[in-house]
Amino acid sequence: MQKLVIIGGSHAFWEISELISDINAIKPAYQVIGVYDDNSDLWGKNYGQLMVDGPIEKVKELSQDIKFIFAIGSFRTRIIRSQILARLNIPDERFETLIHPTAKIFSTSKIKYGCTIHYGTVVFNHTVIESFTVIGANSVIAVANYLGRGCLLGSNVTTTTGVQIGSYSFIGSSTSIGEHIEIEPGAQIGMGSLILKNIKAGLFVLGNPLKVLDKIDVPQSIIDEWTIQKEKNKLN
Amino acid sequence: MDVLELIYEVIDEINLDLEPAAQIKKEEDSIIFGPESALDSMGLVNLITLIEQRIEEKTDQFIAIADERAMSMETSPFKSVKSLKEYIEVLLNE
Repeated sequence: MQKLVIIGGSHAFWEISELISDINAIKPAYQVIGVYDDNSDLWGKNYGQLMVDGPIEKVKELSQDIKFIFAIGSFRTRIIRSQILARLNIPDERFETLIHPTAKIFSTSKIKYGCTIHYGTVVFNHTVIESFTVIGANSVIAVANYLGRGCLLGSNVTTTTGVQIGSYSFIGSSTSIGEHIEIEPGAQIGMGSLILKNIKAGLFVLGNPLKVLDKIDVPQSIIDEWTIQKEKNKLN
Repeated sequence: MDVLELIYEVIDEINLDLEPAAQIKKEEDSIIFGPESALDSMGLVNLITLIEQRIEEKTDQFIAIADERAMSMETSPFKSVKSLKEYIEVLLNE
């Protein structure tokens, strides 16, 4: 069985525990051996049969055969996730991707490292999902989509052909995204939105018709990386 | 058209759905978006949509209050009642 350590002790820990339990029910594959979080209030607290062992920096001391699950992220921390990953500086390959047994991933699609795909989600053909992206339950990711690094998608998100979702964006539950739309990095889409036009980096939009409510500054490094990644993806 | 009066009318309507302690005060300094606001993002969308509807009813003119242009301002128009009023006045005078 692959030994796993979960980085982050918030709500996502419990979602991931359930997901691993469902995977193991079909064929035992994973054993969670530890959980780490920077919140010192959690240290020593019981998480099921585990205990929060300390700050996340400690995972770097663990042996090479252990793989990690990155369980940090919400719409508020979407950009901070990139900073935490940079601080950890652990190769992507050491992060396991977890896919719920009820999810359907088409064989021509590619899901990279450290992703989490929850119950009932479908990823159609020729779609690429970069590392550390999380997709909630019952979402439908359509044909030839490109999801950047570290995106967070809620449940019941529906995309259509050729959608591109920029790195470290947050897509709220029950959002629908029209054909060939690009959502630039760090954007936040509020739940239930209908996206029929491109969304600029860092904008917070919500509704149908769409309202632009707020904007955050997205680090230039994330925007530059996204520009390179999406062009590279087009060539492949 | 008195824009402040129109915003206050809409606030009265929004407040009907809020607990007394959570209601938005009809003051120019009232915060309408962010951690200190009584409104969540859905509430702000509701407020803006109602204001747009009222303006259209009164002027036969639709103005989009919450678009990318609003975010290009140095200070967000959605910070307070005052900043919202001033932004709507700019849009109406164009």
